[in-house]
Amino acid sequence: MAAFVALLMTAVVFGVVGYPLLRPGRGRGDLPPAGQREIDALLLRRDEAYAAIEELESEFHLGNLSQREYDELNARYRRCAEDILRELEAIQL
Amino acid sequence: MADIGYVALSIAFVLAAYAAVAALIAVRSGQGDLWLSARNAVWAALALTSVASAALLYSLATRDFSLRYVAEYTSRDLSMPLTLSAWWAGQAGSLLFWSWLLAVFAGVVLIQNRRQNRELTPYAVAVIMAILAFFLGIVVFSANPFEKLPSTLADGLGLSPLLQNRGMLYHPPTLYLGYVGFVVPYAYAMAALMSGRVGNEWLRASRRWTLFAWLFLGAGNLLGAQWAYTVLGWGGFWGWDPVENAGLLPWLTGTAFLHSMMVQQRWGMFKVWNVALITATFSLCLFGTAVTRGGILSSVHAFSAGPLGWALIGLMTALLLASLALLWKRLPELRSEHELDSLISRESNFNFNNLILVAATVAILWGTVLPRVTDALPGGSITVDASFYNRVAGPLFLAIIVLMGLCPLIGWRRVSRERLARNALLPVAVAPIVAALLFWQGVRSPPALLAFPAMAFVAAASLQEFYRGVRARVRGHGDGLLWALPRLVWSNKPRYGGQVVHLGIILVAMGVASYFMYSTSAGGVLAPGESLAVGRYELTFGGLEQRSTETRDIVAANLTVTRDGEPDGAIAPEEVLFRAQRSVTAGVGLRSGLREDLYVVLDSVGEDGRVGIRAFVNPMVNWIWIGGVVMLAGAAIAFWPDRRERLLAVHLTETERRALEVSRA
Repeated sequence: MAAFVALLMTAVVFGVVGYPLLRPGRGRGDLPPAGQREIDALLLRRDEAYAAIEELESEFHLGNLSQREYDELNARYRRCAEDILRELEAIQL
Repeated sequence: MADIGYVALSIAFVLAAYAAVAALIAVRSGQGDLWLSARNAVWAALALTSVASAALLYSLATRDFSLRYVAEYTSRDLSMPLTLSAWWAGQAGSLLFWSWLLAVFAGVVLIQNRRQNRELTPYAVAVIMAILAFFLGIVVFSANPFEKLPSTLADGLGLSPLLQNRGMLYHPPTLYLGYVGFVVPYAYAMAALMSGRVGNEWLRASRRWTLFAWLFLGAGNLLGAQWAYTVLGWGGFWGWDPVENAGLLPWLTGTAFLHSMMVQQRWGMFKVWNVALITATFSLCLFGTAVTRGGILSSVHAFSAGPLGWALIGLMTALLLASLALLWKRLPELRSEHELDSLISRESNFNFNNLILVAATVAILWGTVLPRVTDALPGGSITVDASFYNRVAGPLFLAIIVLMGLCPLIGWRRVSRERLARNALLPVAVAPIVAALLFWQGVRSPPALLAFPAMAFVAAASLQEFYRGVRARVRGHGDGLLWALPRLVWSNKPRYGGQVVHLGIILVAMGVASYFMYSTSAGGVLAPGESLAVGRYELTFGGLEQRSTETRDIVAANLTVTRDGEPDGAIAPEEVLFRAQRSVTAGVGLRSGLREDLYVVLDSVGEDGRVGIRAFVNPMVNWIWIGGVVMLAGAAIAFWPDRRERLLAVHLTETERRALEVSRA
């Protein structure tokens, strides 16, 4: 009985693992295509830029930044975010 | 069933090795089908390790004493929960548990990253599965939990009396969740180095895993300390034993990594720090497993001895060398994008935090391995005792606590002197007030007059942070006072969860400092009617009481207690004989309160009816456990997915459009 179960396990497992190699094409698209690296990096920088803007607003409301400091940093972060969005738009077009 | 379990493990070993190699080749060559095959191998390895684990649990539950492992760690009289906990009691079973957790985490990584981190994840999976293959290889070829005995025994040897405690149900698995959990951020760090994607992507993929592992490792350490306190009968909860140190070390470097990653995510700094810290953390997790399970150091906790310890040290060394080689290769790409603007900044604070935590780690590690390192010396090995660790670690931990207090007072990049002075006014004012109060109460010890005001400073800084946030919400959002605090915390879970953790650490620190500075003890041999004084208590011996259970013979010493001269009930420390193992353990008489614990141990029972008693008054020990709960609650808050993260995509779409409209105008 144990031997039968062991053989069955082996057959099922190797079938599951070997199937994509025997019937190619099922894994197409599972790895990122060329050029995706640049888009992913920009998307991450975009997320971080907006997280920085939100945190800046939080720090300002807590009184950790003066109005002048807030305006200066806010303008800088938003310029950065706009640059990233333009780069993204250029790639996606 | 055992045969099925062993075959499952053997196939899982092959699959893990295959998945590691296939994932790496697939991502390097862009072969999607090979990556799909590797993913299927991960799922298959998880299924098979689960089958093997279920087989072992079944063998334990059915008390199959034809298996060596079942016979060595269980017996017919052992309760079912403790019988099942034998899964992690011995070397072979605990390695299977390690392996099963690794496989589960590999599966979770696949699920989490179906649509993100698609370039890093194959590399990370390759690393995780290579480590899994190593552990399964040890289980299959060296530490087989399904090894059979020549003949089936009628009964097993049973679990060690010291482990027959409910702590056995939760302390080891909690620690293991922490140890194994750190494999994921480590794997993503290596994925970043191997792929060349050394930006923040690997941090985003590993942040929550780091919190998860840190939370459980911290919980495991605290649960172990509490178990030791209630069972071992020496009056303490932390003896700087090598196994205890081995659990603390990765938690210290993990703490540094948790903070340091924030700096990289915001400013692109500390990139080398972060790779080094997570490499050190995971290496120390392997070291911890080697010490606990491999017996490479002498310890009251070490549960096994043999070649496993050195095999784990070998793996640790190999991973360290490989990590350093990759780090060296990518060093030019890991240049910081900014520099430290100011010494008085959060980044600088975190830099000092890293340095001090690493210094503490190195000092504790050195003390831990010193006996082994100096073994071959002519005069014999050199050992250090608790006083070494207290002298070295105490000031470093105090420095960390002060940095914790500074953190909410200063901002990112820089803070003006005026703003710093305004923010720091209240916390700095609290510290000397507390010092004065302590002095007035008769405290003269310089460490106490330094430590407790420092903790008060940190607590005030953290509470002020909450107050300012609540005030901002009431004024800015119109929140009612009742709802402002929970909404504040929920609006920024990483930030305020972190502050809750800091408050928990202060409670723990107060308990630890009080214990080490003000614990008192007394001992003596008492005849019936005689008394022992300790602190404000007097214990009067009334006589012995004996009883038996199915497995134990218990002798209890009945002691009436007076506190400050007034009757205050009774306490009954015990001597417990486990008949099967012919082993005696202490049954501690413990009365716990917020102010102090009365802790009494029955040392000896004379034939003349006299008893040897040791009694301790341990101030504020409960604050350690309460602080631990607060810490874990804070970590759980920080771990919870932030609504802002999920809505970011929606919010960004609208903001993107506005930004693009502005740029086109």
